[in-house]
Amino acid sequence: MKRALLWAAVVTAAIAALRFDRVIELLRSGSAVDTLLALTMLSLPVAAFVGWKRFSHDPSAPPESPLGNLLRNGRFTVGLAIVASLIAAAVLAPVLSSFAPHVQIDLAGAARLAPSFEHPFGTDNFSRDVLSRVLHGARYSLSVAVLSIGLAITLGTMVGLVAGMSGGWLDSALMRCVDAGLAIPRLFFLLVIIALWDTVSLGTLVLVIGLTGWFGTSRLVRAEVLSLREREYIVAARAIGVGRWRLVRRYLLPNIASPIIVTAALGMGNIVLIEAGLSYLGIGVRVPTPSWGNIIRDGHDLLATAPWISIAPGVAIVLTVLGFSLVGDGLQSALNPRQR
Amino acid sequence: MLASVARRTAQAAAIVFLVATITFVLLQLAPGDPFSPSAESTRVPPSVIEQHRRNFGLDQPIHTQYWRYLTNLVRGDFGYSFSLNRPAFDVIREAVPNTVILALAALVIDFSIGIAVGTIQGARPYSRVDDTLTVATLIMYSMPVFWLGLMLIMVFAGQLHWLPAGGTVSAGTYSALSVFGRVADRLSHLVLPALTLGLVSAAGTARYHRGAMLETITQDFIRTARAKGLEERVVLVRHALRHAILPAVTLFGLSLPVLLSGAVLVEAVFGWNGMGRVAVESILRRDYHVVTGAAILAALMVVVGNLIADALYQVADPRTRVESDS
Repeated sequence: MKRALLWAAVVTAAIAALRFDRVIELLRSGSAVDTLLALTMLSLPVAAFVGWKRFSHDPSAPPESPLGNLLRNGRFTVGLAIVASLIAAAVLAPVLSSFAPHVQIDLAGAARLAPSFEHPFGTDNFSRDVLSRVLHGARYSLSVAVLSIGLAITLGTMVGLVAGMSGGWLDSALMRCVDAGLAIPRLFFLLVIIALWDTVSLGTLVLVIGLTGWFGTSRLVRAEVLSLREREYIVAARAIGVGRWRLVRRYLLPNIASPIIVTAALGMGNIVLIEAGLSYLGIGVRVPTPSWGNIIRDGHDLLATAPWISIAPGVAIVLTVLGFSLVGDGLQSALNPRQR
Repeated sequence: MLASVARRTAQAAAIVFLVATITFVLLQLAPGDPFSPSAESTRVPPSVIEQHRRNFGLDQPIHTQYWRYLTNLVRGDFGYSFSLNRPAFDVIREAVPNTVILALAALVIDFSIGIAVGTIQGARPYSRVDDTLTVATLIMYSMPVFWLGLMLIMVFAGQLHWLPAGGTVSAGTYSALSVFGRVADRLSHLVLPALTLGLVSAAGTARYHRGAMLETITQDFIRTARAKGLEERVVLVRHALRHAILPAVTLFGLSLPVLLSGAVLVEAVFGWNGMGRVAVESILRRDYHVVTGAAILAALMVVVGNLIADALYQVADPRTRVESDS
């Protein structure tokens, strides 16, 4: 962890130096968002350096704390580093990229240029800079994934709690619906919904991916609730007259939080893949809005002449999914030591 | 045994019924119906639209429509493809065999590679080989299936020219080939899509199987087998693998929906004429019934696959047989 922070400081400082002219440009532009982004870029190396200094002065987290455990888990730290860099890249996309994602530099002269110093990932068929598109695509791909997983996990937890707490016919009705939902292959399910509402905005996309992603979580939460419901501390809480809502909030939720968090981390990667798949099919995030999936689609027909268009966003997807899987694995072994 | 089979079949039928109901609800929730006036069709007189609605029963109360929809499904009537002017079922039916072939080939690759890799890892846990394979499977697991397909096309079709880049058969020459040549031609078209779909799922299977092997290898009967002086290879294959492979049978049922979802993308990449491709193309033509029909059929495949997995599990593990009978 200590070394990672030092590395972060060095790398971000190097990037800030390399992109210094762009930082100045953004600072001068006068818009509040741009100024904030430029300042963030400048403060990142400082923050990482200060963090590294503090880490070397006092061995902060005591070795037995869960956080200390997590940070000493190699998989988790690598995953966290990947995810953090990707999020930083997405947030700082305007600072890091030299071109706006939609700008067609020179349709006649600059289309399908091979990677070079000016265009590290080359340019696409419409002479747009691929690096800029991948960086801006990260913003859309990652935010769609984060919002959808949030929706899916919330819904799944709620349904699971209701089913587990109520039991009886409501429980079996809900669980049969979950069975049915799990039986439809996810992508076919999404195809049906998207086919019926033919204009899909980013908001609808989040809604649709979230609404088809909660089945597994609800089953897991229900199982956890059922196993906890008969525990002595829950029975005791009931006996002293703790209300239903308080029982769920104060006694149940904190104890089922860790499997939910692990599911969320592992599910993130999956949702990134699904969004990329839909966008690749041309029915997710629509062009010209860049998303990793639709950049790969742009490069599909140019595989022989300009393979770099499809390669770069694909690597970005692999890194993202890998990062979230590692974080999920690490969390799992730190939070549920039984399953180690 | 018979009673448990009957019970599971009833459960499966209930799931299929619910899937059909979900699609019906989705169809009803969608804005408008196939005859809603759109920008292009403002010149159609309202009386004609009304007539069309009446012809297709869209003016009936909702419960009548629901009942008709269900009875039609049972009779294999999935609705009508408005753009192709044919029953939706016929459109899908032509694509089903291709998807089944692709999925089966991918399953074979998935389980043979996945279990082989998992066994090698489980035999020497935490060794260098294990670590390397763990990283490799993790990366494979994180790969978007359609992107892997593109990369394989680039290498094996684009650079090396070993295999065709897409399609189910060679467009021009297929009809001129002999029977043997036709089979070879179909197989050569199958290799890349099946490999793409199979490799990604194999990564998951390997991860799962490694865990099962690790659990098995510490058990007493393995120590006994080693203590009585059996060769390590025999211990691994005859004793450990046999025990550890059981959970993989359940994995078969679980991996089916994932495999069919992946097939949609792989079919799109390789121009493989399967259900997924038909469904995606129907979306662009707003052919709802083909899309919903394909989804219901895909769900049916998953449910039947799970029934088969259950039956296999009972064959493989006698303990579950006794339990479910009592």
